Amino acid sequence: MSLQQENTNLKPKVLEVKNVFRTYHHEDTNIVVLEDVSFDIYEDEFVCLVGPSGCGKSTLLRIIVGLDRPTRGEVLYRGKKVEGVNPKTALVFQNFALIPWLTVWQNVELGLEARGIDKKERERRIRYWLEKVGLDGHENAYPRELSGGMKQRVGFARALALEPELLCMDEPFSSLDPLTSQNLREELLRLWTGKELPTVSILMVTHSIEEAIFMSDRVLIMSTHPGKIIRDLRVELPRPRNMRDEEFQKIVDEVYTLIV
Amino acid sequence: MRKEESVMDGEPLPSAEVEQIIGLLEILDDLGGKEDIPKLARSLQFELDDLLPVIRAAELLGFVVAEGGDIEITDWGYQFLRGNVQERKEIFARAAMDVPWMKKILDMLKENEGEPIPKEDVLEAFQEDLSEEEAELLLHTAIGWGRYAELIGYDQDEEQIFLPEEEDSPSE
Repeated sequence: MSLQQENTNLKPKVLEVKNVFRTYHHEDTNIVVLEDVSFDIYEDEFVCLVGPSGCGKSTLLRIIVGLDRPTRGEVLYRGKKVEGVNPKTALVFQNFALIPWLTVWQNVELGLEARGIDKKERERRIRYWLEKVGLDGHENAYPRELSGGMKQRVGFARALALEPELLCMDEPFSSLDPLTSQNLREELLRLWTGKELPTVSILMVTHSIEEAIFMSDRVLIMSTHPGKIIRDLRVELPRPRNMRDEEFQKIVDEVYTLIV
Repeated sequence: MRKEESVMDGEPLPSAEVEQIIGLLEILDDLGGKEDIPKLARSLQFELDDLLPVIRAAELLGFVVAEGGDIEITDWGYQFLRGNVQERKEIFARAAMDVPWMKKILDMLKENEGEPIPKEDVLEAFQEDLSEEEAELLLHTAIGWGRYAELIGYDQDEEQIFLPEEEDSPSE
């Protein structure tokens, strides 16, 4: 059985999301975006949050990194309540969020400066991470000169240079063409499985079940209106995985039957 | 009428990003190294029009062979695919160096004794064989490949192409 539903992880918890609600007021009504969401992330786990658009998965991610607050409930990081942006996390965005008038180098540097890291250490980290993600040679390029794939490499370098313990990614591959996204998925996995990341856990939001099963150790499936977690599945498929083989497709089918 | 030093050799423009070329190889690898081209396009939900330049580019670099309706990874392509980030760059550089239009740019830089050359000069040289639009597209591709392979650099502010410095980044 390659899909398990009970959690038997004995590693330390990195993140605890506890009974999180998020509601917005719109005219006279309350819109419930997230309803009673609870889950934990353990060390060495790559977790994917999957759900259709509008299920609140991006909102949940923003609450986890501390860019938004829950209306009710709480998020604990290593046992401590998250209040304000959590410096142990970094976020990779769907649309790269690069500053157009800054070069690749400067875009990566900006986040480090904001965290008060001194110049020498900034330089070391920028050089190191640009090389790791295959961007050496692009230091002085501006975002508009780069392909989507290269832009997202900058997004990765910028996040990784912060050396986050928990790397969070919001649909990082979904604005890329299918060839480019395949390439970046595999490169990220190589860094992850090769233990080359400064990161102990990864949380990625995606709308694609295939992508979630390809990348992660655990898939949390969300429903929409209101957004809640309906399944928590462990993917036991050995790596490297192949999206095009039978075994993989069987698991994809299994997951689809579970959620339909 | 083509000149001897044609940069294109009558090929359709292989204007593909490096990531797309690698992505193509990875997907082919998943499929056992070989696939029918229209089937590949369908399964990727990619237009044949968008896929063909990528296949052409991979072919030009020697990473795949396309024959009839099929495409297959070469040994060289596998060697590239199995490399780590830096090894891939090196293999890509070796392959790209022999691509006529990359060679042209490198020759122009050499003739200029390694000093930067204006982008305009390269476009002009390309336009001996290509339309203005094609030349722009090709230069864009060449800069993308050149930067990845660290064969050439491009300074957007000065609109100049230059030779990257040898190993200016400390290796640990």
